[in-house]
Amino acid sequence: MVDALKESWRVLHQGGVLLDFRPLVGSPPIEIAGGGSAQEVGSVDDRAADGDSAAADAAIETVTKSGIFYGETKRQFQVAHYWDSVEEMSEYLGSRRHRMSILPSEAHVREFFDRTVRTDARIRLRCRWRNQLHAYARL
Amino acid sequence: MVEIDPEGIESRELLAAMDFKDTMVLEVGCGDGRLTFKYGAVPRRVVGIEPSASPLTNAHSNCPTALSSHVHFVQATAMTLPFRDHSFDVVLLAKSL
Repeated sequence: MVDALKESWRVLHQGGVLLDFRPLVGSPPIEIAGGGSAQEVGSVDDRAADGDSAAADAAIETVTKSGIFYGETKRQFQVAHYWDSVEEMSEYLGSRRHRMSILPSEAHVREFFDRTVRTDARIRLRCRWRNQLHAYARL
Repeated sequence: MVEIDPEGIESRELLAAMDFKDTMVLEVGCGDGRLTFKYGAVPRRVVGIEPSASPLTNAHSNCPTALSSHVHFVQATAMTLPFRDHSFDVVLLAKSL
């Protein structure tokens, strides 16, 4: 990762900006959303990303300490994902670079979802991931 | 099918983080261009790189006509960027670090 950051430094103009945009690990809640309301029914197990997330933080620390990037502005915000079924959500989570899963279980979330879908026409599963957007200037 | 960020939070936050107007942007990890297309109209030029061929094919085919003159996609990795020194004003690591 440090090598990739040094490549970014190389192709940037002096004073150019490096933007580090990525989701934060933190077991985001799964909600059943629709009709203006939402009910939390589980969470996403995203612990598989823990190692890479820590390594990314360490790589950023290395290049800022070495002085090739400096300063920093930090933003955090939530980005929502929506699915029409538990199967679609599960397939999406399982296909990510860091394989994720549904907690406490897919069956648990499906039970709530199926029950709610029968009572409302427009119901979806929603997960709002917390993201970071950090900016660094190139020395 | 997954719908990601229909509220447009990502592009709003990106464009609030810095002024992209007239900039040369390198997006590392552009995937199928989903994020690129959201802010791509603002910079002077955007180059998105992605190591995998499959998402890049989708990025090419899904690129809106209005962006096709200044948004480009290249198969490459962050470890060996196929660009000259000091080519860009912004490097956006899009969920790729």
